[in-house]
Amino acid sequence: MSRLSTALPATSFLAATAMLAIGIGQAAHADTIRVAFVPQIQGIPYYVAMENGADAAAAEFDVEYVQQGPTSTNAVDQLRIFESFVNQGFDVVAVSPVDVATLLPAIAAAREAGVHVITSDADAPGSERELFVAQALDQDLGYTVMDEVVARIGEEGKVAIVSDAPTIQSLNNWIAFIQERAETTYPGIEIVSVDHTDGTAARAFQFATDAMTRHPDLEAIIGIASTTCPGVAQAVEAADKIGEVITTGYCSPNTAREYVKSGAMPFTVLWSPYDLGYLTVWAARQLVDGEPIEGQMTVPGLADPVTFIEEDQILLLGPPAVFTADTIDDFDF
Amino acid sequence: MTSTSEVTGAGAAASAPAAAWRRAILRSPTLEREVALVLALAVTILIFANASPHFLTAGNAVQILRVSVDLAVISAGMTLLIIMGGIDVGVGGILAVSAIFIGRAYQIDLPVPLVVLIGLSAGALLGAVNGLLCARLRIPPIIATLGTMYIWLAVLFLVIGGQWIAGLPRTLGPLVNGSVFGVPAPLVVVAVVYGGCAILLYGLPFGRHIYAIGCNETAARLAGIDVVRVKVTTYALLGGLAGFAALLYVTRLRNVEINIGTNLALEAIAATILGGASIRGGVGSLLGTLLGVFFIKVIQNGLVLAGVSSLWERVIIGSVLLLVLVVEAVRARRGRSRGAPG
Repeated sequence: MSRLSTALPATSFLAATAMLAIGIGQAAHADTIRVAFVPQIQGIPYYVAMENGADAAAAEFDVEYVQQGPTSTNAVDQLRIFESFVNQGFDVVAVSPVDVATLLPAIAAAREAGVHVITSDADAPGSERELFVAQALDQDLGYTVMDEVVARIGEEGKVAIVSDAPTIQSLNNWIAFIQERAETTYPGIEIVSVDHTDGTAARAFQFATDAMTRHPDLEAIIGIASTTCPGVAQAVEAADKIGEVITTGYCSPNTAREYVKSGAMPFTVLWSPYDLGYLTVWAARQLVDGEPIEGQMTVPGLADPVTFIEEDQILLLGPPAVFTADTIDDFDF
Repeated sequence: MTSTSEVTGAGAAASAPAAAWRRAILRSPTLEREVALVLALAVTILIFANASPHFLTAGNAVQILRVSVDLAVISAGMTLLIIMGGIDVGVGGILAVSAIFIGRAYQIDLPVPLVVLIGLSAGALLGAVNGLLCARLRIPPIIATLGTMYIWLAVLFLVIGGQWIAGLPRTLGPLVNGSVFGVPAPLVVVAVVYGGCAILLYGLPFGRHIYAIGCNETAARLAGIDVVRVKVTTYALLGGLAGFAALLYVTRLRNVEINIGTNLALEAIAATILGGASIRGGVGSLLGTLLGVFFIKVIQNGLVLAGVSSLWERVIIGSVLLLVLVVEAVRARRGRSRGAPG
């Protein structure tokens, strides 16, 4: 947890943009490398925190960093942005894929053109990416949520899942591991439904409300993305079921804060996107410099060591973090 | 330009208010559609009631009302607009920007009446911009409203700057969650909005001007109707209703998220077309639209309660919409080949 308590610098949006504008204007000198990251969506607090971490690492390791994503979780828009970074001759292009299949040919083409491609935040299995910078293992994330739910509702009960778009691979992986944990370890837990929203809080609210109607004995609702968290928690508050039904999920502290405090969402599971952005830029630098990435490593600027998992080429930030009413105020993303 | 419905619409535009009311009710070109929708809704409800014991309950009905209210409010404005031959594919963007104004106003602790005023006027103003683009500059409505939507969504990104507005107060909560003499509040809200729009459309000269422009804009202009004024007012009205919907949305969900308003315009247009409006203008029904809204929301709700994957929802709504349009097209062709409207 100490790693996570690193205070986030108050980098203003404008300042970051101005720095980028200047950076693009001048030709990169010999030592500086250019790294781009394409998130799944632009402008959500999560990716802003990642950008802040990446900017800090960029200043540390002599990297010129640009982050630009689609304005909605749209695979085609993301592909367009990815390709434009490749064409602009960035040394490393990192991406958190919305849809893996859409990106596969583009990743192959980028590698052929001599551009390093890494995935960060979400992976592209089966692609030619060199490295996946992982926040936490999908399995750990799935298991942690299920374990924490069971710790609160007991080993028997009905659980509903509300997720964002069905095309986002990482979300689907977490759902699969939540289900796997329930099946293998908690036979009394029944996952009654998995529904997908269009990214609005309104739809998450609707799915959560309807799930409670369908199962009056429902005990927990898991919101798989930050976009679904306020909606599911608000649904429990509106139904006056705080204490009867718990909500949780992979929700950023800012979107979950009010509900964690009201008791509608007793805990949320995530990691520090600031550290993830930081690690991504560090990994990009190592890759371009041809420095080894192996075993357990200490990254200057990160409190805890990171782990390289050889067989899957995954650079792992660490175990997931659980935010509760006691700890949530230490984080701002 | 001589299909049955348009001729009827033009007739309505020329007759006295009382006759217009009678015609609207008894000889409405959309009466058949409304009856068909009621039947479709009844069949859908029967199927879902059969599939889930929790579907046909008072609690669930109130839930459906609560989640329908913002879409219903916007669809009323969309109906007037489509009757006028216009359309607003970017109304979700207007709702988004209004929601930001509302959220920020709440955050600096403005008194609630002022927050309401700000929300409504922000929406009306953005709507009026669309109206001016369409009426003064003669930009096709789809293009104009698509263009402004992109600008509004960019505003959303720039203002929110990656931080959602969260934890807003629920001062207007009774509008969605309360009840008046046992009647759920959202039903009262919907009745007031649709009643107001019905008076405007069927009872006032303004409504006849909307029909006239939708049937034949040139003729309307030659007849002395101030087309620009009517158009700007109607777009502004939809904008104002979007502002009102934003108030309801914010009070219900208590946050302004980056994806706010996604799919809203498309759902409103789908409800309006399902309800019997012609995308070519001149025809449309407020009652039909309201039934269309409930049809969409009942399907969304029922599928979850029946345990069917929510991925089917769009398939079903899309198919029903296509079915309606195909039936319409076939009948229009037959009508033309007989050459005898009505």
